[in-house]
Amino acid sequence: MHLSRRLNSLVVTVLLLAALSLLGLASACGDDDEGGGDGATTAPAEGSPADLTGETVRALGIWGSEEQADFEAMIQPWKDDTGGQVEFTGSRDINSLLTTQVAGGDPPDVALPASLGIFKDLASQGELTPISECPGLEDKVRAEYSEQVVDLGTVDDKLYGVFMKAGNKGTIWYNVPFFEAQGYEPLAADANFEDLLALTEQIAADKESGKHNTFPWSDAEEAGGGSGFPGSDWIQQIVLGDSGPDVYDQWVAHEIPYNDPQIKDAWEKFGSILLDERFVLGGADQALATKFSEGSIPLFTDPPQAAMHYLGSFNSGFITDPTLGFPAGLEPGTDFDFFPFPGGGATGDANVMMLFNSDPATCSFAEWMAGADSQEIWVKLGGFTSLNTTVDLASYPTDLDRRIAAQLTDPATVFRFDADDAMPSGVGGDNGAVFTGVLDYLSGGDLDDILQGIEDAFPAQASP
Amino acid sequence: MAEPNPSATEAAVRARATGLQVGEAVKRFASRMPLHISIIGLAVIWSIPTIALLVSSFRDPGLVVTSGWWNAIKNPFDFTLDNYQTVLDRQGMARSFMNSLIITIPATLLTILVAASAAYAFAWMKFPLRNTLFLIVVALLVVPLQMTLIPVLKLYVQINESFGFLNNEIPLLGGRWFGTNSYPGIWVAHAAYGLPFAVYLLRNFFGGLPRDLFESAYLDGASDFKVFTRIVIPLSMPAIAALAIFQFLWVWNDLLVALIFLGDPDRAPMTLTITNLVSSFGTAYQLLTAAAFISMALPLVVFFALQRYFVEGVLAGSVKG
Amino acid sequence: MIGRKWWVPWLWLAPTLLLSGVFLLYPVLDTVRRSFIAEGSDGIFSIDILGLGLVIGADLDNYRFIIDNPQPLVADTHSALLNNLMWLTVFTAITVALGLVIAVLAARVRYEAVAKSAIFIPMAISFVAASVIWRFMYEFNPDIGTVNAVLKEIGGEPTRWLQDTGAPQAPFTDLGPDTLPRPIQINNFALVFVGVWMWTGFAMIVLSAGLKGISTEILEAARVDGANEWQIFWRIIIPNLSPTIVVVATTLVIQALKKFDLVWVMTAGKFKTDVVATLFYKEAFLFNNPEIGAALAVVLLLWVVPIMVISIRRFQFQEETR
Repeated sequence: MHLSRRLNSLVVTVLLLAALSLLGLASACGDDDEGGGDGATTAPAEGSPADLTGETVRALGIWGSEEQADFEAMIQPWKDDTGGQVEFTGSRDINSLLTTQVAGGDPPDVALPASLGIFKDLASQGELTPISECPGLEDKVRAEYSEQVVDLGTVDDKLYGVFMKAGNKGTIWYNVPFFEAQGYEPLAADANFEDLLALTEQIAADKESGKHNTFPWSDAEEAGGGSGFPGSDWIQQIVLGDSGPDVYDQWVAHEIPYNDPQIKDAWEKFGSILLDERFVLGGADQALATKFSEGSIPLFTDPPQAAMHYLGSFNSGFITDPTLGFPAGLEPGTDFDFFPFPGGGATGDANVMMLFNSDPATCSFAEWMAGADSQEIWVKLGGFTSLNTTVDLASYPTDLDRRIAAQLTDPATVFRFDADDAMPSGVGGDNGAVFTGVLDYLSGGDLDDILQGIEDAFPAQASP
Repeated sequence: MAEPNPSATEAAVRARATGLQVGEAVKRFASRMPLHISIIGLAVIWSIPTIALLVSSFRDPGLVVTSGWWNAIKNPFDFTLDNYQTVLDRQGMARSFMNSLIITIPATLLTILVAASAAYAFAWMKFPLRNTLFLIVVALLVVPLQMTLIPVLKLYVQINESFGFLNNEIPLLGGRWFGTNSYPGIWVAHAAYGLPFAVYLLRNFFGGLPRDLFESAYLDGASDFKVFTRIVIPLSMPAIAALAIFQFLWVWNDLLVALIFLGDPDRAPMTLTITNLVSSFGTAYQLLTAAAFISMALPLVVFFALQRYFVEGVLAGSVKG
Repeated sequence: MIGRKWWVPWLWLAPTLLLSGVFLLYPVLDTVRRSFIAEGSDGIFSIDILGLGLVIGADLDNYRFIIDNPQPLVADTHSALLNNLMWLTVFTAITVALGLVIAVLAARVRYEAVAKSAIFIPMAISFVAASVIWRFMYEFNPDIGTVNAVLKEIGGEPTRWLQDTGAPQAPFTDLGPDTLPRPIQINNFALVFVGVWMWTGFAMIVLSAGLKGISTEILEAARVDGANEWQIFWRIIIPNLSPTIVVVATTLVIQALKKFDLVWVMTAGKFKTDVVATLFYKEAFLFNNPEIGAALAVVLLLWVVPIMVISIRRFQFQEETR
């Protein structure tokens, strides 16, 4: 019967595939794809490392691509010294992944998310292990990190989180040759928002009179679920600079309502630049449609289409990456540079490392990660700003990176953690009310309605 | 007057017949023009995004972001294999391809087996609550995957804690015997998630088979098993092939279930390794274009291998009840 | 079958019942339970099974949240429900129609396999890759985005396909209003179109398999009798294919209700494209409100009941006429 012949050939095909896969499996078993990145450049110096052969630390983070390779380089000395293994899973959906694993009873040993919201949620729910349960770790953290940073990691009077890989969000990027040619001055550290507005007006006026054809600003808000975060960064910098750190703290802690007049004022200032068609290349429409990593591209066209772009310090990594659409060979200092956002304050964000148990392997790993030796490895590879005060500033690869790090750790700068990262999830963070509000505002929405909407998002999100 | 040449007449008749045939063929082709145009037109439009992806995967990453993919066709031979190189050289890509196979093939086979058995029962056996149970199983189609993750994860963790012997490694295959971080665990999960659709599809086809076939078989004393393997399965090959394709695809392209249940990066399927090509900022996504095709290669092979089961008619000539 | 023992059907059903019970039904029941517990409350009483303490409550707070929609900026429940309604009508109708047309037409040409493969390929592409493609398709800048480039060529205005909430005909003509009541928005249609692109292959394949099952004798007889293709299509093919059409339509409607990956990856629900599934995800996993998420999920489940009832009725009908 011809039908059963067809059945036979199907069976044969399947068996063949199965056999092939087993064969491949046997060969792949011999495949060693463990580890990557540089060989260890520094051996962990402190104490005598424990022997953790056969132990595995499960770590969950957000890093992919080169970041993952850099991370591997950072932990290689620990693996060499202790014989322990690290299973790292990187996912940009870390929040939902972590929530699921914790709720399902299968948490990792260590997690390194980028938002405070989930950290605070988990800490107050009692899912995290306090740092103090690892011998010696808490003392080390208190010694090597500034008080501000330690406070951030403290929930209910217990220290739960260690901060690393920070991003400085007080940086405005500009095209150096353009500024020099046209006689514009980058703002000094003691400038204020009015000065920034004046500079903007000046560039716009010169454009209109035909002196050049460059817009003052380029802005890019698109970032998938996090769209709107650059705008939110603008606003929090303005709040910090204009209203000062005390108001900022009250704002973040929700001691003043979100539609407080001072906050509204900050939004309006943001709008005075972003909503003005003369000031922004392509207007708010273009800002909404452009991906944030490509926001600086118009600065480097020939002639430049825009003069300045405000984005966090990680932008320097984008500008020097031709695969993102930038011209090759842009040099920090000569082609591009940053000046501090006016107001004397700098906001920043960071990955926070948190522990779910105090097993020897976990504690040893955490101690390595928190220390200066490990962080210097990644610092040297670029793209990592450390909050650890004992890290040698000379290990930063370029002067630019050094200044970015210095701005964060300089006692003269008022440093505050990124506001919406610190607000409860649902208000701040990806998909939260603040980001959506920014998008609405740039699309022409009514500011009072938006601020009320954000304020409304607060109460129901309060953690139990 | 000469006698009419018989062979000439014959030739004339044959020529006229051929002419008629050719004319017929041209007329038929012309009348089918709209048919051809619509099909080819649709197929082309459908393929444009895929072609765009293909072209982009061969372009320099800097160009991808700044100019449209059709420009590449204008300056051809700006093509580069860099993207493919980077993806294939990526550490662990070969291993994760293997893992994807290990996860997908058994899961697909398991789904078909389990669903076909149930579909046969629903279609041709009588038992109480038959319709209600069928309704429930198929209604479960609507359950979003994310809703099930936490309860099932809790269950797996519980199983691993209660039955410690399951935590040992399976020789040669790797991973545990069951629970989290185990291949059998994920096979069972995928099979379960695919069941509602599979049962629904197969039940529909099985139910459409002619009653007489079954009656004569039962009269001949055939057991359910024999009827199932000798009659039902062979006659339902189009449906089973369709199901196999879909289930294979869904499992091959799955990311979420693997992330939750198979934590170990050594067991990660290709989907996971591919997402890690992209940094936490979402840059380097042009690598995804090349990765998409690399990952698509095998499912397409499966599709082509199985789709011939649709092309032949199956019930030609048999009595339809 | 004569003489079949009573336990035989259950044997055949056992694996299915077990698997779907554990992996699907139990989570559903658990979710329903969750939806009746207000945030932070301890419910009415607690059952202890297998070490899992299950709290039972009877609060309607979560459902009230859905009805009242108190946080339209963060979680617009009304918008999500309307969007789902649009998805399950527009997406299903277009996909079934297209799939049917292609299945029937392709069966007539010799290059059937090639044509079908072209339509099917989008199904083989993972969501991650599809999102990359369509990102480029819908890109605002007409130098990069294919759709806007084509639009520019024929004289239209480039549109922000994924972000614009105006009326769908706006990019093409000047007729008609600028905005229509939600959910009829450009960006919703743009998303639905991607869904159609991906799922038509599915509809086509299943309908094609059903088409093969129609006896060629009947078709031949009709042709000999002088029926034209149109009549054959409506009088023979459609009626014989209707069980299959119901299967396809039902699956697609349910897909539309569940739609998550597509919307999430392309817009994350922003600009009023949220659907119930994305809202559920946000509430349950990102905003730490699993109870509200549970209520949303229950609403989703309720919607599917009438659909299932209709399709089961058809099965019973089919059975009686066998």
